[in-house]
Amino acid sequence: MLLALWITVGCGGDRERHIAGQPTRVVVWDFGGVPGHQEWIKGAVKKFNDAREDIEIELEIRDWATQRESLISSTIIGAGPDIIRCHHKYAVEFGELGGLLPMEQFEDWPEVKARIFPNVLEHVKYKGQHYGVPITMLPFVLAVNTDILARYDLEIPTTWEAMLEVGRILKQHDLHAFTMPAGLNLDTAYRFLALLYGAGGRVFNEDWTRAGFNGPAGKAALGFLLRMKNEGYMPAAAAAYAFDENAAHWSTGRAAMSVEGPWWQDTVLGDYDFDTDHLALAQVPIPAVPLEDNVQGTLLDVVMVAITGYTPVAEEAWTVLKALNVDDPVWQQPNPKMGGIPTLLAAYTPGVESPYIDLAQLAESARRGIGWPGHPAITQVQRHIADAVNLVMSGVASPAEALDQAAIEVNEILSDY
Amino acid sequence: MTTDTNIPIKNTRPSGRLLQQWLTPYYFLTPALAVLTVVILFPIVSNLFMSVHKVQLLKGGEDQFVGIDNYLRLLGSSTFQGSILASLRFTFLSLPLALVLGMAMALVFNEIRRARPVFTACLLVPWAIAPVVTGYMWRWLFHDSFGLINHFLLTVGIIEANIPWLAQPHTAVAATVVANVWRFMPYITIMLLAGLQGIPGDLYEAAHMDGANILERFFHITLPQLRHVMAVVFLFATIWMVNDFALIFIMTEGGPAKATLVVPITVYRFAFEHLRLGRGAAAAMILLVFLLSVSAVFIRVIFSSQRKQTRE
Amino acid sequence: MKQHTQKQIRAAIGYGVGGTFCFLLLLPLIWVASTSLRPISEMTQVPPVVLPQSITFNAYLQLWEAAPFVKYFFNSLIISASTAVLALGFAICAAYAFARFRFKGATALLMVVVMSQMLPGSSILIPLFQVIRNIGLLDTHVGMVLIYTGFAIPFCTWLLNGYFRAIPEELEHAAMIDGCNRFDLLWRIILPLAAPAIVAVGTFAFLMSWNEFLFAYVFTKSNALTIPVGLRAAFLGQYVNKYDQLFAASLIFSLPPIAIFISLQRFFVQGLTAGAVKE
Repeated sequence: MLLALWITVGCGGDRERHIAGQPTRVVVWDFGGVPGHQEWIKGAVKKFNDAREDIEIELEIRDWATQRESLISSTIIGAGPDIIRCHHKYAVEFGELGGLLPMEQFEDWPEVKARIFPNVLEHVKYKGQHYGVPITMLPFVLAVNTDILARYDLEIPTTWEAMLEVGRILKQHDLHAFTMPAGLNLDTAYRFLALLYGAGGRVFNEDWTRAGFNGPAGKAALGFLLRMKNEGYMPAAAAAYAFDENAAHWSTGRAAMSVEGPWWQDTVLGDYDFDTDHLALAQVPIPAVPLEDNVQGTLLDVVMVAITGYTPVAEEAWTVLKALNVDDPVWQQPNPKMGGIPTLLAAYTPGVESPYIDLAQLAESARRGIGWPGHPAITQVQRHIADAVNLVMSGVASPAEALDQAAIEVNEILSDY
Repeated sequence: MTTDTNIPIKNTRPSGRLLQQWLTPYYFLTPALAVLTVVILFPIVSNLFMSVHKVQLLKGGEDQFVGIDNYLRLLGSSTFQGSILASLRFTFLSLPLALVLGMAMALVFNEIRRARPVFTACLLVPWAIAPVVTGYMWRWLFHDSFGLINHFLLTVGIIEANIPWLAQPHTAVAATVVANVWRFMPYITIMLLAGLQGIPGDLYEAAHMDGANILERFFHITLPQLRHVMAVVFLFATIWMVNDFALIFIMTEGGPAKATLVVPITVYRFAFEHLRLGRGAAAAMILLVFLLSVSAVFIRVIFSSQRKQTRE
Repeated sequence: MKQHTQKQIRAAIGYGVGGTFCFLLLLPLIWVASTSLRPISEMTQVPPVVLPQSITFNAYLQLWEAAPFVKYFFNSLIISASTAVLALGFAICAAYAFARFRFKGATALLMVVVMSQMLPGSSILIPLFQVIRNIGLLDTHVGMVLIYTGFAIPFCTWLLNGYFRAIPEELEHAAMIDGCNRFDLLWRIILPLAAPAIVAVGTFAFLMSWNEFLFAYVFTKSNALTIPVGLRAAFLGQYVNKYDQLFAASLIFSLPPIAIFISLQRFFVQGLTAGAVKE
């Protein structure tokens, strides 16, 4: 029937890359990206295609949320795009499955590698090989409303204890020292992790077989947040906050600090007309005494560009990748429109202009940054962590109870792998 | 009922005619049945199968048969138990409220003779609006700093500080119930109103002459007469409320602390966030069985009262 | 005399209370409309004020630029309209079969069709996802239309069945003697007579798809995204929050359903109450 016909037409067949007499086609799937990034890449692809006769880029912009599903389907089928831009965590999952190509197979990889933040490279590494080129990073920092702090002669706190003290003073003036999303969403998990890493905690144990976030660091971090809320230094409604409510609360001058990233200045300026002269970034506060043996770090999110394992045009894809994501001028200079800060060391050399406020703080956080572990089930783990934080911030469970419960569920998940 | 075989159809051979006549209804039915099979019937059966397997969505492996393991784990998990409680709480707090309010409004609207379409139009609006929009609307209304409800309560003096409605389990449940009642009450009012209009006026006159006051008339005439309608309303409202996903999901996403994590949201979470399709299917089966039992009970009531009505 | 004034009092109470109630019922909508008409600075002011102090239509103008909102709008339109047409077509045929023919399994099939509408969405969500995925229709318009048609058919068939049965058969008998086949009968006689019901049923199918959230959320990701899901993505996205545009878009989105419900209210009320209330 018509339906059957529709279906067969709908499933397009695979297309040839090398057609005699025509430029080699390289298919790029660009997942998500803020509008600025999308605008840039369309322009960059056009420029590339106009300038070169031997290679033609076919760009497809797809929704960020579809990346895992798309990667899986193409890997199973063994056919799909040649280049993808995606979250760094897939380096692990798909590196193992053969869905991504190790960069080591390209001769000039060492040269490219040398131009990138060393710490960030770790995030695309799996079993000694790099499965992509990190191009954007999102370090988490403390976003501070300097106007509020200046009003009461307060310094930006660097420790949890100092945060509590700032909270105490600001409370007297009906202001919150801190705010964060603590609803049942992934943003909650990210904020918690920023504090966890600062306390020396980790998501998993050494070999990723058991949860680590319910160790002393995790419980202390969550306990700290709970105390902030109970004392009134943080809005009680935070347990219902998603990103947007949190931004509203901070940008309307009701709270002095929030844990955010490079996007923050755009958000507060664009949506709330916040006077960015009063915005400053600092490192996320840490406990005065480290709570676990691991190195204290900050939270870092990394976006990478990778070449798929089943591509028939690896060398051409590598050429395209370098042209678009390493050599393009847009990466040599930090640009808030791109949704994150570049991973190229060149962008941080003195003398490079940047519209980013407090770029040095972002770079500092990136240098010590640790990302989410690239485990295939990491999204589920993030959910359980967010659940636990939400449980505690709604006053229903204690940090120990909630985190231990989440750990039980996460251990069950991990045992499947 | 038609009996086809008596209708002469010209220009066909006898045997072909019979076959064609016999097949005709099936031709008409095929498109609808085909779609129904693909979209509803096959999935229902498939759900049963999935619920007794450990389903591998992404790793490409074989599904393992695990018998009732999924069900046992579910029923033993405190999250799922909480989920069932959340569903029951949500439905059986909303339903009586909506019924009482709906009944009251039906009685009020019954007195309105003119411009009734205007009033009905107002009633239909909460129902016409997509649940998503309703969810965002009430989320905004219950916002702790910028919401109208806190503002009103503060101004009138009922509360002294803003209530973080959606951040505390009890108040979040209350908020979702309010939104739900807002959405369903119009349906109930319309149904009950139609029912009220079907009650013969002489019953009331007779009672009035016997000296019954308003309350007695209400309880002894109105309610019994409305039994059939109310059963239908109960049935559909329960089914719709237990099934509801969008409204709660948008308002609270199941939080805070899983207080509003009703079963449909749990099914979604199991399947698409935790990637445990077998367990999600099992949760869905439990929901289905519950709804079928509720439906069975009410349908019996409806049909028995229907039989009673025809006998009267 | 006493009864007359009693009636007047009751009527007065009726209008008074009823009117107030309707106003309160619509107040949330008014609040939302007001939010969409004010600048953000006013929206986040405390204490909130019901009516906007300064009206701006910015939100209504800008929301179309919120990257994919236009696409979502067209997706919703195309999918809902296609569902209405398809569901109507299939349901008319099926209802005709049930109404005019006596055949094996008729009662059973009718029961199956009717019961289908009572099934919870969550119990078919997961397996349907597997089915649609395996056919390759995930995130496609075709897939969504298929799903929504499946949802709409039970109710449409049931309603049309009732309506068709009420149409006297003599007209068809006469036409058949003149040589019409079954399909002609359906097209030329039944449809014109059943036009009101068909309109109502078609709009029901349209609205059901227009407002649907859960299945759109699960089965679409970017291509076939409809507005209910798109409201989240476009206005409360990862780093975006534009309440005014969100509500402006919500109101625009709600206009078709409200308009349809109000103009067809007689049918809806009739359809709802038929069978539930003794006539």
